[in-house]
Amino acid sequence: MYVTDEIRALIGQKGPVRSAGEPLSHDRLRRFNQAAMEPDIPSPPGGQPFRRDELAPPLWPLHAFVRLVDAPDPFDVLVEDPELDGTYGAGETGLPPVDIPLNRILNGGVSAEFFAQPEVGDVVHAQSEYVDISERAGRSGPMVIVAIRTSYTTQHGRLLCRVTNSFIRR
Amino acid sequence: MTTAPCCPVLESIEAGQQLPPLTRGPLLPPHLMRWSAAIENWHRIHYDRPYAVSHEGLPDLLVNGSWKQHFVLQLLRRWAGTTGWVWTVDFQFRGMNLVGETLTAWGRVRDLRAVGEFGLAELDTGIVDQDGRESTPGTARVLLPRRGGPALPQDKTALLAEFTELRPAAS
Repeated sequence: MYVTDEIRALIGQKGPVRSAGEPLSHDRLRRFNQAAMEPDIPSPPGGQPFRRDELAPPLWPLHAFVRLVDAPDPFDVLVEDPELDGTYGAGETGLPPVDIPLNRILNGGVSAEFFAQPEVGDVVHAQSEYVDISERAGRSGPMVIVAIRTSYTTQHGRLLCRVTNSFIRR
Repeated sequence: MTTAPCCPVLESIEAGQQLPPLTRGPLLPPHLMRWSAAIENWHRIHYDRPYAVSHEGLPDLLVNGSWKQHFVLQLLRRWAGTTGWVWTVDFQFRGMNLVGETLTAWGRVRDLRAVGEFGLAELDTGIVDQDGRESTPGTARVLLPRRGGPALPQDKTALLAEFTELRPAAS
């Protein structure tokens, strides 16, 4: 039994509001769209075209949180341990850890709801919370499913999207 | 690259309709490296084959789940055009996709209904590899205008607040 009362008490806890620190730029959006292989979004004759250099894909806010200009180089740790996996704190939410001895983490799925289009100039803010922590018996043993919902807004408080990630610990 | 005709309204589609599929690939190490660089995620399982195989026990480099979730949204947005709105997506990562695979995002309209002045399409979605193996089954809801009806508002927050009973439990 991994999900004790203490672990269950994490449900509903929120992490800090995090800021991406810098606004979305045309250059960042260009590189992002090219890497994502974004297709053209058709518009009706005479209608407003989708501005690929102005409007970001709906899930872009998830990727707004990158290394800031004055942040230390995460690759410095490779000097001490060249075999590190390279994740370097990616996906950091500021939530307290779910302290259970199941260290293998799989990305189980995503549930997202979209409210507004991210645009150039938006500084994304995010706040995460545990919405569920449950235990199941899997084929290869017990597993704990941790659901984290993150709300993404702009610096002006405009809600962009809410995304729930389900992580499987086994 | 082909694009879908623009743009569906509620009355122009029917249940069972297939969305024009979107195919990418074969996805090679440069594609995975470019995506990792764009999102600044340096997990080695996506670009360091010796690490992925010898350290993680994987058969080869993994296609990023973060890219696959964008891929499903690309399919939906290309279909909905600039006049529709992808409201929700839900999907599970059921299987790995490996470097070298060619992936196709697919979607099928399951249900349609009018919601006030607008239309709501519910869809089944997924991603299959070149052999038809499904890795990312899911569902989606897309808001559409109605024939002769008003355009969807730019900011959907107020509109979607009225649709509380339609909102997925997980969001």
